[in-house]
Amino acid sequence: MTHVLLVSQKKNNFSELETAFSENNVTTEWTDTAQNALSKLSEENFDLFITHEHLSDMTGRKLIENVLFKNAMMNCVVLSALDHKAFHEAYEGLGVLMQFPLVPGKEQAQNLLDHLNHIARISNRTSKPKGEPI
Amino acid sequence: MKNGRIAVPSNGQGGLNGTRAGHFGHCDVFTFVDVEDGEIKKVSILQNQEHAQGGCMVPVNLLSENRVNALIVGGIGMRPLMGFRQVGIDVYHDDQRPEIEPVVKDLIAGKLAEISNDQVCGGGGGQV
Repeated sequence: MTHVLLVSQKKNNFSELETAFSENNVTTEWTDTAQNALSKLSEENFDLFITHEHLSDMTGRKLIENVLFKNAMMNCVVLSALDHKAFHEAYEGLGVLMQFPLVPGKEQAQNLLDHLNHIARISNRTSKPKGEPI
Repeated sequence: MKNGRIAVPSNGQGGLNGTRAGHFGHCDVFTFVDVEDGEIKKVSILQNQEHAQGGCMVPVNLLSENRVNALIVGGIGMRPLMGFRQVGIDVYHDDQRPEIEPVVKDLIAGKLAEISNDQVCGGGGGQV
């Protein structure tokens, strides 16, 4: 079970995404402001959050920064209209899993789940150092 | 640093005579330097994991599981920096010298500074 927080002023933007998630054992909660998102993320267990790039009380980028200062393990996705290069420059270093269009759908849901599984497989590979004489 | 394990993201085969990789997440290997009583006691190599977009916590967990105490980077993003701090790994910065050995010796001697938040890669340039 994966639990996702959706953050956007318009809940309807997530309708198709939520339908696709529900078919893949992913549960969601929605909230409209960054402050509410910060409260929910500190009070409940979410696996990741998906935020619009523009919120009423701060930018999506600022929300991500605020979250990672408290919990860098929290994954995030951004709904953004920026082109690929501008998005990379705007969010470089924040470890954003992927960029979604402003109204994401089934394809984005599947891509995200595939990507999370891929990262989980990498994380589960154990690795130990090989000794080397000085 | 008197005791502990130092990690350096490295190019190629790594090792004390190797060179630091410019981007820690994309490095080939990590060079581990074990320090006891202020002396280098052992050098070992750890293969890095595959890099995935947004998978910044993979190397954080990898180094944490391998009992690393300090990391030396030439550059790092905000999220992995916060991740390392949250798992108790101190992150030091030197983007001038690619050679591993002199930088490691400076860290052991207490001459290397920890990276500050305004030295991280990225920042957005106020675009968003």
